[in-house]
Amino acid sequence: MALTPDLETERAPTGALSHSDWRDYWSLLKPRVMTLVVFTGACGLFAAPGSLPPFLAFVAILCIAVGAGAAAAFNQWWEADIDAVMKRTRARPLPSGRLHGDDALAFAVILSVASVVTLGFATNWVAAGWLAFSIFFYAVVYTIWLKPRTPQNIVIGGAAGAFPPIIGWAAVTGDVTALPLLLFAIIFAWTPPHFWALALFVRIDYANAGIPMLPVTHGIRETRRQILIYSFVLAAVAIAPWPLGLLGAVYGLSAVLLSLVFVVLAARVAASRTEEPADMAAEKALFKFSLFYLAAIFAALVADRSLA
Amino acid sequence: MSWTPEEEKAFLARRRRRNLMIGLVLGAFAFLFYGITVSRMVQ
Repeated sequence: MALTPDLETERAPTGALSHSDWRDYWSLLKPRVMTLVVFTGACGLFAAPGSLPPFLAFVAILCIAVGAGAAAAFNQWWEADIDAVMKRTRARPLPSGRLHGDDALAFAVILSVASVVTLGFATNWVAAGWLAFSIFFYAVVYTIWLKPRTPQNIVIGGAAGAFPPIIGWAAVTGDVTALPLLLFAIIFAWTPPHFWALALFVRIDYANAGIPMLPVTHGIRETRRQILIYSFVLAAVAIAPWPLGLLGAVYGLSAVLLSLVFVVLAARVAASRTEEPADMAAEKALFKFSLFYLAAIFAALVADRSLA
Repeated sequence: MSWTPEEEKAFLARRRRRNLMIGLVLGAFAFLFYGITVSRMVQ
């Protein structure tokens, strides 16, 4: 965000800044992804023992959302050239030229610092530290380092998206115990099958952009096999809090049922032989259900804690 | 470096919008920290 006028840029009648407005900055935050982050962060906060005053709880969730948005802005700033060659992303503000890269970077830095400092003042510095680490992990470890280098990028990147429940929990308690780590593990194990299901039917886009996604580097068959393996891992970590005595039957039975459906859909993907994106009904079904799955698991968590 | 009247008008309009946004953000921040302070005092 340019806080002082850049006369050279501003004068250009077709310059990047001349067309940008608040909607471009808003879309830098990837608001749809932010929804899931807010939801899982809020679930971590509500599931934690103890409570925060409502205004501080609101500020904590706001900071988690803004921190996630800042990480997404870093991601779009770094990947503007890749986004420009992918059909799914070429209309974003940076590749389309509506926003200048320097403005996007400044916006990301300001939001990162503001969200971390505000969370620290509003709750505690343990939560703020986790938020800072999650932004660093997504922007540097995932986006800059691993994503362009390894087909396991999504596995590591899954960790970046798995921090919100830990941050929400830490905002209330000031520490991190077994349950928030298991919530982290659920999102961590959920991410690969979720994204690989998507990557299977948009793999041509990834191949064109030179991103080493698993379907591009190891083929469709191997990706389907990995999806099935991760669905078993996901089921195990999702159900684990019940037998470990961390959560009750409301959560446990929900996790068993949801995980069963997830594994069945993953098995359908593994059994599929089609290579035509338009015919990948099993992959599309798994992708859609995976979104519902995560929301339902965390809703069951909150319901279980509310009834306990 | 001279601007045409249209360019100058467009620049001033953009600067006004930007200043308004910065003002709103700073106001929101002031409110946020006021709320945080009050909440922490009564916690």
